[in-house]
Amino acid sequence: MLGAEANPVTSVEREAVSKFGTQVKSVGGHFERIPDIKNARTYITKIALARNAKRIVLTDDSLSFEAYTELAKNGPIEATIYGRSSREDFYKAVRIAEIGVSSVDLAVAETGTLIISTTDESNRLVTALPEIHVAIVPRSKLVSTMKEAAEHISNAFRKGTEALTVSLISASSRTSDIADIVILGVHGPKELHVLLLDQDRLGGI
Amino acid sequence: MNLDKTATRAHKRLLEKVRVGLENAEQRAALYTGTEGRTEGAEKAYASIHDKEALLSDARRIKQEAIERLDENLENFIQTAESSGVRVHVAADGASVVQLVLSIIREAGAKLVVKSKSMTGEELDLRQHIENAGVRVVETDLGERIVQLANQRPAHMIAPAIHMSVRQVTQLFSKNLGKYVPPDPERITTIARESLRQDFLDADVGITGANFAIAESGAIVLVTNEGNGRLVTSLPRVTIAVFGAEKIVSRMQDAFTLLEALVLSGVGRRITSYVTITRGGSKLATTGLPQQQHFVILDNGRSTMRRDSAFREALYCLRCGACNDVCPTFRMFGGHIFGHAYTGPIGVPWTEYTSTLDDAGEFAPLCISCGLCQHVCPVSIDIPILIAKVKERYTETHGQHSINRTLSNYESFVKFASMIAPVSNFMLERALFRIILQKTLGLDARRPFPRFTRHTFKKWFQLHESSGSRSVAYFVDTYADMCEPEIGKAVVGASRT
Repeated sequence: MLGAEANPVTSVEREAVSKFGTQVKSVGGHFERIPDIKNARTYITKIALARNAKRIVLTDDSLSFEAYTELAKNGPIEATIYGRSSREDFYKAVRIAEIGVSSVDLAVAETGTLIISTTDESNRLVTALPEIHVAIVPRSKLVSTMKEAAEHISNAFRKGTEALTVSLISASSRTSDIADIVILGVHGPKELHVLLLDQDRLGGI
Repeated sequence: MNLDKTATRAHKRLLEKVRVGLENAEQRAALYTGTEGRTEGAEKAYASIHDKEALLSDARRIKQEAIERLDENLENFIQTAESSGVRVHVAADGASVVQLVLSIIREAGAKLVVKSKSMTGEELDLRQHIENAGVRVVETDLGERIVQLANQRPAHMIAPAIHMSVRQVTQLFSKNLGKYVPPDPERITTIARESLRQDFLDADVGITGANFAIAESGAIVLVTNEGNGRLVTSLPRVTIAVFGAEKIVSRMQDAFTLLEALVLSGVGRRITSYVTITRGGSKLATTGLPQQQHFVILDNGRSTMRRDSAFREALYCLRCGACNDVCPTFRMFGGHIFGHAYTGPIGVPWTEYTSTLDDAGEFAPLCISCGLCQHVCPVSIDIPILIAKVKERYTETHGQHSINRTLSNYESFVKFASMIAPVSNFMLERALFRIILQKTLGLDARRPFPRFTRHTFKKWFQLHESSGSRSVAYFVDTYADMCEPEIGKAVVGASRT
């Protein structure tokens, strides 16, 4: 739906990746570059063990699916991916899972923002209910400015008339409603992990 | 005279609220920390971007254009939203919105409604109306939940519980949940998360406002840090967004420019944790059926505001709350005293149009015309002038309260005091006499009074008048004439050199 064109690595792109990482970390997010989708499995397993997490839910995009097959190979963690189980089972899983894994449609370097479009709330809940959100961001989905992203989003809404939700995620859930003190994880994820995949992935979801 | 009595009564009510506010040390401390922190946060955030002026002039231009093209934008918005399956309703006033919302809730057979923070909801007392109809409503923004438990209105547009201390919030949750809650914001938040999570999952209907609505996309934009807006719009079977027609902008890019200004001024960051742009009903996680989505677009005084050339720009307001934070009297009293549903300086004109002139006129005197609100407003609304106009209209229709009336005739009063200066000075220093003045005229006994002299400037000038080749006109005020004639003498001295 959304999607930036894949380009060869340029100095502009390198700068964008570095800016993106700095921005994600500046608001308390975790940022890691991974050379291959296989590394996502290692990363997710590591944080699952560290947080004593038992269940992972994944959105139905192709990258999450690759991560899922890696995770499903072996491991102590139960992974449920949307589309591979019944709606009831998935809804049950997304309510109790500690970790939600998704890909993104776009990411914005200047603000460290992940942009995810959904037409099924099951997918949106993967990034909204669990305490930990892991987002896999292919380098080719990165744009430099929010202005560019707004153009892509505008086009996505213009393309058709169907129901569409575009979520911009720039940090974990936070509040300062009690005595102006910042607390993370009031409703949605307490932790945000961004895995930048150094591979070009063409096309949107 | 009857008019003056109405104004005097309103003023007395305000003075009583002011007295109570000043004595509330706990609230004053919380307000000071909160507002000061927010103003500093916004200043720092603006200092970190390089194109502040360009951004803010773009923001103002976008709102100006949106209000100019409101009819056309509204039509486009309705068309695009409806073609994606949204049920759009246009309501002339608050009562029709309430009727609409109640009938949607009834039709859905809803027992539980979850709400995210909405100023439009406050404007309409929407939560109270739904509760009165026997349906449970849970506010899900943490600050809004706190004021709901305290049975109060938000004390600030962005930070509803800015006036409360950790101790007070702890007590509220402890009472509501019927168990011990530690006085620790992190633990309170965890406890609130658990109880609100269940409410999200159980809710039948979700109600939100909208920060922006985009004509070309037929979508609304919800800006939150907590992420409650995401859960309110994704879990319930039916969602309702209630917002004013002034929120509609032409293009997606417009919304993004306004978003940046709103977030910088409102929370001192480049972007909030979450921004949700949504239209149509996506498939529900539970059944796979499309969610029923309603947009309720409200007028309630906005068209009248738009037709008034001076007040039209009040519609540019992004609800960032920066004018609340910077205002010296707001910092002292908060939005319960300085505000109605809409709080702080911009709350004065908004209250006149969306509620009544009575409500607006009652707290308008808290504005001391310092001008800081206009200075921090991201869309440069001339708030001080709008407040002055509200005060003017209020005086025209409600009269003057007694102390203002007395002081507007002060010249004769001061002449007499000066004539009998030793006596008047003696009297004005007596506490008993000041109490009598307070009781009869409403002149506060704590207010320092100038000393009067019989040796007025005018008397002195009659003896010292001189003529020369050029002349100077000096308008001598009462203070320089009858209280501090040395000032007048110095002016004469200076003009002769």
